[in-house]
This record gives sequence, structure tokens and C-alpha cells, in this order.
Amino acid sequence: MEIPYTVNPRRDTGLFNAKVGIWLFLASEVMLFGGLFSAYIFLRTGVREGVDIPWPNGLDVHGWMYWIGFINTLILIASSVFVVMAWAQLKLRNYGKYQLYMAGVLICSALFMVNKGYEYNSKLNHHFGIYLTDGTLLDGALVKDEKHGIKGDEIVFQADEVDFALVGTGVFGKADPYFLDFAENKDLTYDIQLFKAESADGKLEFVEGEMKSGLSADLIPGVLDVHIAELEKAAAADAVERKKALKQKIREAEGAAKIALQRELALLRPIKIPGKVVGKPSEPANYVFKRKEILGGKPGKESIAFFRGNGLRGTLVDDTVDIEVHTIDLQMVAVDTESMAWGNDIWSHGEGEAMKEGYLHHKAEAEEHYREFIQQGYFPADKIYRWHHAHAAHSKAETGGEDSHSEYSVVSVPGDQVRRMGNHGPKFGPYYAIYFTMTALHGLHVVGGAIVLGYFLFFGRKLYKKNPEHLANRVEVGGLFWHFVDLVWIFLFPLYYLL
Amino acid sequence: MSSTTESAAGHGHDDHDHHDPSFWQKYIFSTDHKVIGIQYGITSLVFMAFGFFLMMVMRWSIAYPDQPLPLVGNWPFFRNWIGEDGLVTGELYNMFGAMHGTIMVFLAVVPLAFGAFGNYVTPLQIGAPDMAFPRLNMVSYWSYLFGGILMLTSFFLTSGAAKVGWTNYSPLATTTDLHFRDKFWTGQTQWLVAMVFLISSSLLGAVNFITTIINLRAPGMTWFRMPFFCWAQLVTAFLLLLAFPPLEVAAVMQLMDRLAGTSFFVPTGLVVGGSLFDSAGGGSPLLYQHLFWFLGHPEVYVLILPAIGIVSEVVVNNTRKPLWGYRTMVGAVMVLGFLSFIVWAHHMYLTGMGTAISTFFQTTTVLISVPSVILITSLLISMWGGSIRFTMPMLWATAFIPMFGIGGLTGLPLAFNLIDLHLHDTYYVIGHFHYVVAPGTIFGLFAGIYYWFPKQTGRQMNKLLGHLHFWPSLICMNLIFAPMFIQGMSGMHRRAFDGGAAYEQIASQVYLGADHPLARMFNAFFKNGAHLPVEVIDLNLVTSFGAFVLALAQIPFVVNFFWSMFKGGKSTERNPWQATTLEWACPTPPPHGNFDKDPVAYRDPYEYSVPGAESDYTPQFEPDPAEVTEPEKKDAAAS
Repeated sequence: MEIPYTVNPRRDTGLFNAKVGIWLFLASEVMLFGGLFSAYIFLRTGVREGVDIPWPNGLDVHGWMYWIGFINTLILIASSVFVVMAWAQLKLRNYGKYQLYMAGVLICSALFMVNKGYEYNSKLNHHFGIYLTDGTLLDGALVKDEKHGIKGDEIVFQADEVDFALVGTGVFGKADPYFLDFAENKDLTYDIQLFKAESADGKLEFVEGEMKSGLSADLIPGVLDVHIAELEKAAAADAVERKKALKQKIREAEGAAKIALQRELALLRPIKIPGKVVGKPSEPANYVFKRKEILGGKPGKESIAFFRGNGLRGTLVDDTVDIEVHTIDLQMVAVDTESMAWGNDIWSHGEGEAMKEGYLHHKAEAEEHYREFIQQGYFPADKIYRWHHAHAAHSKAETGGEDSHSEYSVVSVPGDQVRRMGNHGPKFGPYYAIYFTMTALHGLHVVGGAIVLGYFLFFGRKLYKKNPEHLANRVEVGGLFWHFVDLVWIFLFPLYYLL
Repeated sequence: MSSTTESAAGHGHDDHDHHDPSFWQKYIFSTDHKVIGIQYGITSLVFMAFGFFLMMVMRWSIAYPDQPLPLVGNWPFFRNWIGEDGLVTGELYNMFGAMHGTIMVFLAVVPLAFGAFGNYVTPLQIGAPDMAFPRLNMVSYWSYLFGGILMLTSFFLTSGAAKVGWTNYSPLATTTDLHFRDKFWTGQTQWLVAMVFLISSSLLGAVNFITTIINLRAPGMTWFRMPFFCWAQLVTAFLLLLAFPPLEVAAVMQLMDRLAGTSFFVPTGLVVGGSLFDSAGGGSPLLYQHLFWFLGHPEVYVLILPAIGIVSEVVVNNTRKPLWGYRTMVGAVMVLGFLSFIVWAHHMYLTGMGTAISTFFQTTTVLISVPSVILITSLLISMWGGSIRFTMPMLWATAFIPMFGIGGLTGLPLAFNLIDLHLHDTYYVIGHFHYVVAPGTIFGLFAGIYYWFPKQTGRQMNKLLGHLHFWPSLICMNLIFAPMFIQGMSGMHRRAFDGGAAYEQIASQVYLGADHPLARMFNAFFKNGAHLPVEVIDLNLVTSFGAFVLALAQIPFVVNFFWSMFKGGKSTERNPWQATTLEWACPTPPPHGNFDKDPVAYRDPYEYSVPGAESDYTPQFEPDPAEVTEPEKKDAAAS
């Protein structure tokens, strides 16, 4: 028996199977994006003033680039029209025109994705922000650290000793001293000292074991794996001993002391690997890496902790962050005139005080201009200081009263004054998080739809010859999906670009 | 592309149905709904056995926290996680607890109830040749299998599997295992990835089911001639379709939190392990719970509705009476489906979301018991005064009703905000929902297996082995779950991996310190040192004993299943149970395409003991010339 109603509609429902299917699928898609929009509302309305990072205004985030969003809206609307025309041409049995319109749809979707890529690229690679420890946000673009020849957010650490993790990382649980790749000099060799632990009276003491010298970075994992295997054996024996001793004590103890010991026994965890491995590079060497490699994200002055016990010891050479500032955002600062941004020392031109005056002038202007909005709490213009004001103040001080539009001011923020920092990626704040999640999910829908419609375009002829109505049905169903994708964007655009 | 290759390819495709399909096409990458149903069934039974095994390890730890894990403790996998003295560690317990819940709900019961029975039976009952989208059906199964395998492989990662409970609450789920550099290959992340596959599978399945039921009903099969099982599947499919996407949202957002460092569910100022968690903050853990339970509650009805559907079929067949209140039941199941979308926050009374919201959800939760009671009462009244045949499926179906009843009634106190404050996260809750799902749904599913086995294989399942399966299972299920109510009301917390032993020892000291004089007084006054009487903790032994015997009681079933498949008593007639619905009209076992003559539904689904009829059943597919009305003739002609 053939499955009925694949092409012709069923009489009582008036629908062919795929049409029922796509409407149901769209219902679930509505729930999917409905969930995301709800999350947007829930998070945005739930911001606690002075506690959470404020959500930026979409226009502020995108600057002139909201035009890209607007053009993308037009592109998608055009493509929706094209997909209807393609379907109509199929119904009229004009295969040539169908191909033409369908090609239009695909070109539109490609243009959409190109624009999207441009927008993402600018946020992920060009915009960079630093939250100082007092909450001041310096927003701008990362610049090169000329002194060390590194990117502005990279850290230089000179290490004379390295610690190796004794737990496997990666999928297969093998030792993976990945951090050796951060060394500037790739030809370093290492002397490796293996330690074993022995317990004496329940305490662990490290005893020097074998010494391996002159190992290159790629030979080290093998040495670690052998050492780990040996230690595991020793650990098993050790834990049994310690438990036995503890149980003996419990038998002898009484009262509260006994309960305390029992508790200790209950909480006692075998130390899986009592031992350590310390390496020395053949010469004190510089390691260059980003903050995300550090456990907890904060570099120490004398040691760096990487994941799972890897680490460096030596001296921190450079952890300053160098960016040129386009905007100073003071919304998270308790008292705006006390912000760290007005410190003279971090600005390359040393004119923090002058900038503060510029800011106060700007604030007064903004309060005058946007008074009603500010009173209603809609618009934090008074707490955001944009670059041309900053620049104007700075150049005024330098040139004695004359405005000029040369380059942005550059700051070099010491590492210990940074609370958080990063490019305008999803990590930067809740707005960016949900912006990237939703637009990327929408982008995936565009790509998926384009693949399906592209299949109808490039491989549809066979079906058209066999049963043109069937192909028309497929295009109709694909078109319904395409309209839905368009509709989602109609909601996304104002939410993320204008509000 | 040259036209010759195109036409050659087209030719091959056209002839697809006429060739004998190869082994791979027929049994592995099949698009036949029956094969897919069996694939779902077997896969989910294997997952169920595995989930049960995880639970037994947990039960051992709860009952015997001071004794090494027997038998399996030396397996290489366990050696990575277990203490050197062979005791189950808290970490292992958490991992198994999370995976037991996940596997049982998403990989075992839903696929068995919805994927297996829904796939196999629904098209047969509505007289369709197959599902509306056979290839989508296949993709749905493979997506499920892939998600399941991904879930299981996470046990073998360095981090181990997910370990923060099947609900995977943020921010704990967000911050767990973040000390691994490769955050993608950690159990928590893999749980989310696997869930995305499982959810996609369910969504495809749901679209397929609804379309099939709407568009592929046979001529004469009007909505109210549809067997109740199909109604239950239809509502289930709608629940899956509309409730799962928000969970997908939650999974995607948590995935972003873990991998991209976003802060959807991470509040400002979160402290983890004594230091400030590196994130932008501004997120909401409450949002995760809302998104999760928006799925989580309808999911309960996804678990139970197919079972009620199966039980109705079995009950009505074995009482030889029409289903009492068929239309009321259809109405009730739809109301149930609707209400299940607005009760979710009764899982969240303790989150401090506000009394007004709590009151709303308390009201809707109490309301939803009305349609549930209608369903169960209708089944009871259906049995009233019937001459019941206690066949194997009927035994399970009969047991289902009181077991589900206990589960449902013990849920009522939990609906109330005030009582829930005390019972939340205690063993009472565990007892409540396991009564609904384990002796409830799973008994219903066993009824289904025994009921449709002859249609599937042409052989009857063995009765003696069946009884050996049923009676111990019934007794053990109650041994396991009844004591939990007592434990829960005494305040025993569900996450104590040693069954409350450590809590009993240290509870007073946690607050007062071991040497505090008040602590000594406290210890003297409460002889066991804490609020849990020793009798309550000893109930752990009863429960665990029940669990281990229950495992043994499944052996007869496994033997019966495979033995009967090849050696069971032959039953090749089409309608061995003398049932009335359409699936009994097709040959045994049903061939590809299902029916050898076009099925037509001539009457209501449950015409048993019709006065004046020759036999005590009048199948839907039996034409009665006097009763065939004009439109049906037209329909039959049109097809």
C-alpha cells in the first residue's frame, strides 16, 4: 500500500501530509523561539540596578551598523517574496522562472549571511572592553603592546620552574602538558624531577625520585604517563593503610572524639596521586598566553596556575592591557567623579584630570538635552562618555583650546586593576550572550532553509518531470518555513538593534 | 549532470518497493513503522535495564554504606570511581543518580511508550499503511540512538558522566567540571549535547505522529471511532511538540554558559569554591528552572498517557464490555494535556518565586487531578460487572490502576505549597513519582508487550513465566516504594548517598560543633544524634532488598521474551484476543504496508457484547450491510 495524500490533499482536512507536518513543526519552532524571547524579557527586566551589568541600548551597541540589520531585514523580506513567486511559477508550470526566483532566494540568504558575518567579525575581533575593579567600563579596540610585541590582552611570564599536572586531560585521559606550547622559544629543553609521596603519621611528604634531563617538549607526556601509572599503584596501597589506621583509632577512641574520627573516616577520600613533577626549562624563558588559559582568570605575581595543577613559577613580566578607548561607561561606578578612569597614570597622554572635566561638561550637556528620558530612567546618556568628547577634552588640553579629530586615546591598564575584560563576544555581558545565541540560532535556520531550498532548485528537475505538483508542494512547504524564519528576524531586529 | 545518470537514479528509486530489500534496508535502516517500533522497543528496554543497574548500585550504597560494592566493584570502570576500600563514593552516587533519572525518563520510558508502542500500534489502529513521513521516522530513531550512545560514552570521559541530578539545575550544572581545559568532553557538556539530539528525535516523532493521525486515518475512521490509545498518543505527541522546545532552549543556553562563557543562568557575584566565578553575571538560575519544568511537567504526562492508553485497550478487551465513558475520557485526556502546560512551577515552590505565583500553580495543580481521576474512574467502571478474563496483559493492567492511583493520590499533598515545603526533595517525592512511573507506567508498558506480542511474532508468551514475572514484580515494587513515603515524611533527604548514615552522625555537630555542650544534650535526647529514627534508616534495607529481588524477577521476562519469540505457542490467527480494533484485521505478523485489503472502520472502537450480535465482540473492520451508512460507502469507494 502506498502512503496516501503525499501530493493531493485529503478531502476532509484539505491538506497534504507535508503541509500538516510543516505547520506542526512551525508550532514547535514558535515554542523554541518563544522560549528564547521569554528568556530575553525575563533577563532584561530582571536586571537589578547597581548590582547586575546594565543592558546596553541596541543602537549604542551597533552604532552605524544597525543599518546592516535593517538591510538584512529588507533582504529577508525580499527573499520571502521571491519564494512565493518561485512557488507561483511552479504552479504555472514555468520551470525556468521558478529557477530564477529560487536563485534569488538563495542569493538573498547568502547576502544575509555575509552581512551577519561582517557584523559578528566586528564584534568578535575589533571591539574590546575592560571593566576596571571599580566598575568603570573602558570600551574600544585592542592595540598591540609595542614593548613586548604581543597582543594587548596577552600576558608575558618569565618562568624558571614549571609544574606538571598528574591527571590526564583530554578525551583519553593521557597526560597533556599543553602549556609548554606557550613558550616563546620552541626549542627549550627541560630537566624533570619526579617526586613520590610517602605518608608518615597520616601526613604526606614528598621524596625526590628519578631525574630526567634534557627532554624536549614532545617527549614529556610519555614520561608523565609512566610516572602517573606508578603513583596510582602506590596510592591504592597508601589509602588502604590510612583507612586501616583510622579505623583502629576509632575502635580505641570514645565519646565526641570517636564521632569526630568517624566523620573524618566518612569524609576521607583517597588522594589519588600523591606525588608531583617539577620541570626546569634549560634557561629562564618567556611564556605568552591569554587570561582564559589561567585557572580563575587572574595571573599571580610569582606563579601562574593553569588547569588541573599545571603551572609556572617565576616572575610576571607584563599583564597590562592596552586598548584605545572609544567610550567610558560609568553606569556601574558608585560615584562617577571618583572613577579610576580619571587617574592620570593610565592614559598615554596623562590627562586624566582634563578628561574628567570634559566628562562633567558632557554630562551637563546630556542632562540638558535628554532631561525627560533620563528622568524616566530610559537613557543612561549622562553616565556614558563617548570618545569624541573624551578626545576633544584631551586635545583641548594639549593644543590649548582647539578641537581636532586625530586618533583615539590609548590606555595601558595594569592587570590588577582589571575585573573582567574581553571582546564583544557572548561572554561580555547578558545582552551579548543572548544576542549571539538568538541571532546565531536564527542564522542556522537561514542556512538550513537555504540548503533545503537549494536542493529543490538544483535537484528538483527530476521530480518536476515526474510530478510537478509534488515539487510545487515541496516548495510551498519550504516557503512556509522560510516565511517563519523571516518573521523571527522581524522580531529580532527591533529587539537587538533598536531597543 | 547528464540525463542518463539522472534517469538511472530515478529508475532505481521508483523500483524501490518492488525489490526485495536487503537485510540492512529491512532491519537496520528501515522506514517501516513496525521495524522502527521494534528497534525503539528493544533499544529502550536495553537502556531501561542499564538504568535499573545504576539504581541497584545506588541502592547498595544507601542500604550498606559501610560495605564494599559486591560483584561489580572490581570492574575496570568502577575502579576509577570507587574508593580503594570498595565503597561507593558520593561522586559515583551523584553520577549514577543523574544518569538513572536521565536514562529512565528520556532513553527508556518515553521511547518505549511513545516511540515503540506509538510507532507499532498507532498506524495499525487507524488503518494507515505506514507513518506519514517514514524517512523522518527513521531519522528520529537514529537521532535517539545517537543521543543515547553519546550519553553513555560520557561515563568513560575523564570527568565522568553528568552528576548534578537529572534536572541539571544551574548554576551547579554550569560550574561543575569547569576545571577541565577541554570543556566540550566533560560529562555535563555531553549531557546537554545528547539532550539536543534526544529532543530533536522527539520533535520529529511528534510531528510525524500528529500528521499520521490527522491525515492517514482509514475511511470510516472518524475522530470518535479512534481507539482511546490513539487519542492518548495524539495528546502525548502534542505535549512533546510544544513542551520540548523550551528545554532545548535551556540546553542551548546552558551549553553556551559552559562553552562560550555566557551568563544566562549565572547570577552576579556567584562564588564557586571560595572564589568569585569568572562571568559577567546578570543571569538567573530561576530562568533555568522555569524552562526545565515547562518541559518537565508535561513530560510526566508524556510518561503516563501512553500507558493509560494501553491499559484502556487491555481492560476493554478483557472485560468484554465497551469502554465506559469513552467520550468523557477523550475529553479528560485533552483537558489533562492542556492543564499540564500550566502546572510546572509546583516543582519550584522552594525557589522563593512569590506566594501569588505559588497560589496560582497550586490551584491548577489541584485542578489537574480531576481529569486524571476521570480516566482512572472510567477504567474502574469499565471493569464493573464484566466477566473479566485474567490474561497476562490484564493482570498487568489491573495492577496498573491501584498503583497509578497511589502515585496520583500521594501527589495531592505535594500540590500544596505549605506541605511541599516539608516534603520537597525528600524520599516522599521519590516514592510519589516512582509509583506513577515504575509500577504505573512500566506495568502499563508490560501489559502492552504481553498484549501485542502475538500480533508481532505470531506466538503467545508463556503463561507460567509470565506469572513468575508479574507477582514478584508487583510485590517488590511495593516493597521498594511504600517505605519511601514513611522515610520522606520523617524528613529523609533524597540526595544522601549513604542513606542518611552520615547525616545521622553529624547533623547536630554541623550546627553546634562536636564538643558543644548543647550537642551532647542533643545527642542524649535524640538517641541517634539526629532527627532520623533508626527504624526509618533501617527501611533502606527493605527497599534495597526489594530492588534486588525485582531485578531477579525480570529474568523470567527476558527468558520469556526470547523463548516465546522462537518457541512460544503458535497463534497465527489474526485476532487471538478477539479484539475489536483495526490492528487485529491485518495478517500476523503484519507485512510491509500492513493490510492485505483496504481497511475500513464500520463502527465504534469497542463494540463488545452488543445485544443481539452473534459473538461477544463486533470488530470495527467487520462490515454489517444493514448498518453501513451512505457516507461510509462513499468513503470506501473513494479510497
